Amino acid sequence: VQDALTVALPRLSAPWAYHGRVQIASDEVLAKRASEGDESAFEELVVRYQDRLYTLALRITLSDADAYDCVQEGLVAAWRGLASFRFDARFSTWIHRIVVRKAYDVLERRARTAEPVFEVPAVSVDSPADARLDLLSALAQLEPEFRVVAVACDVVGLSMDEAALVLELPAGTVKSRLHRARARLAEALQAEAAP
Amino acid sequence: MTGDRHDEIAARLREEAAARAPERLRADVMLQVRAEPRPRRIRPRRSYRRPLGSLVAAACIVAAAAVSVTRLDAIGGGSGSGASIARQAALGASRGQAIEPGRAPLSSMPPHRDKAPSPNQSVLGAENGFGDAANSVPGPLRYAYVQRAALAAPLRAAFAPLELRQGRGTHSP
Repeated sequence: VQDALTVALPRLSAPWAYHGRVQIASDEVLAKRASEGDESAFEELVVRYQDRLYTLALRITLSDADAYDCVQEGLVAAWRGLASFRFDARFSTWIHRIVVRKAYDVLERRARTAEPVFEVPAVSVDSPADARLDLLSALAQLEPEFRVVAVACDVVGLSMDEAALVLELPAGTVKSRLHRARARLAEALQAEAAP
Repeated sequence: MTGDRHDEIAARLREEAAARAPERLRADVMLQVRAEPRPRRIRPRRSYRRPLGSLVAAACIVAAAAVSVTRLDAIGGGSGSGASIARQAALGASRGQAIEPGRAPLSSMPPHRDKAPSPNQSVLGAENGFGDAANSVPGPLRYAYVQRAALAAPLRAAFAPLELRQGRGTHSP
């Protein structure tokens, strides 16, 4: 386990900078400290991952409330499970996988109970609202198995190998599903753009 | 073309589909975390099998070493008596019960003690009653001794001129 990542920065007088360098603890170091009961280390991990995990859960479950629950339960489960985490996988992979499983549970529960989904698209920053809504609605209309892969790779930014580990799928399956997901999104956007 | 389109879709997804977690999420999580009992590191259960296995292996090695040392002692005692026997045999050889060079070639060397009489037996004085005792000497030792005795005369003959040149010769001119 790498103890810390040293990032070269210009000489600053900020309290977190010294001798032009700042020490940023790696996920694994923080996870190790958290596994020994250090709550502040775990809080740092929460800060680092909450947006990515929330995005992942939101785009899989298509529901703000469910995404919130997934991330909250997932993080608490991670806190409980850290004691038995053996560090043979990356913390990032492990925490994403926990939240993906929670999101899958939501999808399964919905499939069992035929529960309706009230999706609230998340707020965007740059692009025009219409175009963004088109993309998000096209993404929401994808079948879950394709949507999950597109979200993991393209939205969250996981590599294909990491996505395969997170989604517990073979790497080849991830690659082919990602290709098909992008193709379907392109088709959907083209169809909407056409008069 | 399709690749470009796919890259564009990927870029748009990265930019537009990312969401920000609600502000209260972190606080809620940490509230629950603080309410939880502190995690206690679960130490992996200590396995006694592996240490026991290595202990048994070490004991076997030590026992094997002890047995071999004991056997070596026994052989050493035997070879001691064998050496004295051989010394007597050499004496006999110097008295004229000659050792013929090349009598016991390497290929004919008995690898172990053998019951059958060997060509060396006569060299070691089987006819003098030492045969059985000589047989108790391990084959390699016996062979080494015989070869040393057999090579003594040729070696002396071969090195005699050299020793003469250096002025240390035993032969008088």
